[in-house]
Amino acid sequence: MHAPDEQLWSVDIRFLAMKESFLSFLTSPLIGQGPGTIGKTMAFNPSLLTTLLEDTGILGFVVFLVFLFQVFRSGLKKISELDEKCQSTSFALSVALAGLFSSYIFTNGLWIPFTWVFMALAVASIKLDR
Amino acid sequence: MKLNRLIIYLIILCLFFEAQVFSVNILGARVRSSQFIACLGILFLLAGIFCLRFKLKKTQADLLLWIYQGINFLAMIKSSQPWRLLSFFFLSFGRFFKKDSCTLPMNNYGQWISGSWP
Repeated sequence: MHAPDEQLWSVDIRFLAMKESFLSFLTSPLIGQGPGTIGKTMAFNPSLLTTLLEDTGILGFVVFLVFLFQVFRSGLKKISELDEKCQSTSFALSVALAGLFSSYIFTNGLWIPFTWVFMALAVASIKLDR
Repeated sequence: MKLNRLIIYLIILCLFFEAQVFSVNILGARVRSSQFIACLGILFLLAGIFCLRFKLKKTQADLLLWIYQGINFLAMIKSSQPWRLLSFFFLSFGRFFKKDSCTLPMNNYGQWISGSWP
């Protein structure tokens, strides 16, 4: 508990929510507690990592991270096959996606629609076959 | 190629409007402009896939995404939330036809206070 005169910074609340989320994950570590479970105890889950762990457990966490790694790896491989003009655009999109997911470590936005539209574009680009 | 450009412009618009300030009222529901633009983006993606006849190959990413969705679904079934949502839906539906009270247990933010049904 914080003393009344001690200032509570937003980062403290984030770490508190992450801790709550991690403790919740430990009670069901394999497939997690279900999507959006943090709403029962806290207003939001600030981290992508604790969200994945709490919602889908260690299985979902590993599968999602392997999926992201696969998208980036295949995307970068695909870039070398494109012409010069498309190369720079694709590289910019890949870097933007990497930056977006880096920021989600402390501000989770997996629930925001544009994240999934962005992901769909990234997956579609590695699936294009012509 | 024009469709690709359009989708990229939509994404930029989406990022711009993601401040979540702008919203419209559609049939009493608050719909954020970002959600509207994201829906448009998905529609254009689907139109691109089905009408422009892109050749898409199967990749490992597809399989991983399906597995992730499967785990999500399993976890969702296991948790109590979908069942609580269903009960909330049916209770609200029943109360809609009662004349005496239509007040839902909501907090100041318009969120249902779970477990507080009278």
